[in-house]
Amino acid sequence: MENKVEILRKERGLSQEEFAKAVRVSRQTVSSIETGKYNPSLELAFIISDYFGKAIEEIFIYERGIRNEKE
Amino acid sequence: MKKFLSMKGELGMKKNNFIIGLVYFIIGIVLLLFILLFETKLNSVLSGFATTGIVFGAVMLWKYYYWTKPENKDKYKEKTQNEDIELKDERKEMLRNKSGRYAYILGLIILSISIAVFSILGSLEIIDNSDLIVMYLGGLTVFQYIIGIIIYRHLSKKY
Repeated sequence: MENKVEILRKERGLSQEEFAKAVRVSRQTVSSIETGKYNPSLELAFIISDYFGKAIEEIFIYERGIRNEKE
Repeated sequence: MKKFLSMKGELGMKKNNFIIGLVYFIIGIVLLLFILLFETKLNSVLSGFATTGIVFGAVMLWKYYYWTKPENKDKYKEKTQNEDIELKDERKEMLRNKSGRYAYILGLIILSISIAVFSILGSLEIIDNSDLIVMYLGGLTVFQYIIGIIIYRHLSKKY
């Protein structure tokens, strides 16, 4: 799942450490989310989208096409 | 949660830590005195307990003294908040669960291999009492497997 967390974080001039503290996760988790290694839970995705003041689907892009092709 | 954390930070280290540290320290000292005054077969074991009690208690008391200093209040607040984040971090929680699962599977494999190895060593008369070891390892393997299923079913009902 792709996401725009890194772009939005940088737009606000935040370091990974600062953003991690704001959404109450570790810096490594922020890094893993940004690189796409880890997909956050629905709850964390909502916390992140609330933080940026955007809808969840504006930040996290679910690739339906790719999944359907795999299936 | 934020409210709880800020409260926790404002309160500083709980007095419980001091009491627990003191209890450990006193138990350690009492055991040490007992070892010095009486000679029993348990002295070596008791000296281990005494050392643990004294060291653990002293460390807890020192930590309490250090973190309750007014100049360390903010540092303690940050430390507890970071610890809380690390503990509840969902990715780390997932990793802990996964590593536990892999350790469980590896444990079962090693137990099964050990049963075979001890059976062979027993049959070749390289070791004595292999039957007892094999029975124990077999019991442990079955126990681990069954308890895994029981816990899974219990959690399945809960979630």
